Amino acid sequence: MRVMQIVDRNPSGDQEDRALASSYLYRVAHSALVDEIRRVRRRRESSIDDEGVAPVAITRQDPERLAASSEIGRGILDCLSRMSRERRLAVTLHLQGHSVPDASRVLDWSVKRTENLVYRGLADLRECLMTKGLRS
Amino acid sequence: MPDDERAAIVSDRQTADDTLRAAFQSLAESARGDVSAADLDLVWRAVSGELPAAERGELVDRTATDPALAEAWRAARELQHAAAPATAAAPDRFVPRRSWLAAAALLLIGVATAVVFRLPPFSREETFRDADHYVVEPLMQGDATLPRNAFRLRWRPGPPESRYRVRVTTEDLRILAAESDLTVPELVVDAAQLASVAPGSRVLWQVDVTLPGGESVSSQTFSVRVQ
Repeated sequence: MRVMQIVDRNPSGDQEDRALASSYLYRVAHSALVDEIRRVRRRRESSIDDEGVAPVAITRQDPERLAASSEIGRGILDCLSRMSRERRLAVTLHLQGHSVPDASRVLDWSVKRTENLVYRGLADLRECLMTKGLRS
Repeated sequence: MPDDERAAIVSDRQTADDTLRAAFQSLAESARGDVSAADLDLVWRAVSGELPAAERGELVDRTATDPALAEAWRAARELQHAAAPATAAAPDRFVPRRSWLAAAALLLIGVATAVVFRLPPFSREETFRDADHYVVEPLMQGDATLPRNAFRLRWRPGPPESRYRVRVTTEDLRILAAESDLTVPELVVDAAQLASVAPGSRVLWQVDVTLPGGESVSSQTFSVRVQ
């Protein structure tokens, strides 16, 4: 509702000004969202530390699976750092949840090129993880 | 290859991909460093398509090895997706997807989940830089208190002939003052415009600068208290 009020109360509400306000609000929302994610996480960690107990309720995954995921995650970071830059960019966006067309727009590459780089990059990543004894 | 077999392979590949994604994204859980305001701004501009492609690439490269930055990227993308339904036009272009309705929805979701809007205190290290290295910095201490009858916001001037737009809001984003096309790097907010702000309350402000060459530079969001 505050956003609507901003529109209503905008003293010089021309098109350009509204675009500026829109950009500002989205930035604020993004910043607040990231802050909130981290705040909740810290509070959760602090709560666990205070109680000195295992994090029973924070996840539905079992501890072994979490540990394995974390190990794979660290392996991915290392493997990405060894990959060629183009493949790394493509694979990173893939791991971030971007589709190939999405990633191609972000990187300003053709869809075909992006698809090839994601494919080859993932192959590199799997091979690298295998050499570390990690299986996805 | 039989269809069943092919489907099984595709399914396995999909499961493996999901596992990799989950593992990569879970790294943010143990990330220790915070993302600076300048980087948050960069991420937002990259995801919304405002950043040039080469700089987007550089930022993506950083997300490959910085889980906190990667998480900020995903958060920005979520916001973009939330904005998408109301601005379905031009789906094939990587352009900012903005709408007031979506922004309202986002903030309503924020209220519903009891998200408290809090701004970190200003830090001199957290400044936004443009391609020409002009930094919009306030010329006052972070979280300073200004008298309401002499409420002057000042910032480091840009190159000669720069133009400034300033927006001042309450913490709950109610606009108190908005001025554009300023030629001097300061804004005096009238006491009457601050009448609704309780003593000691914080207000937020942001500057957008149009440089002589036409390039735009945005500041991070600053805060200051009203006496």
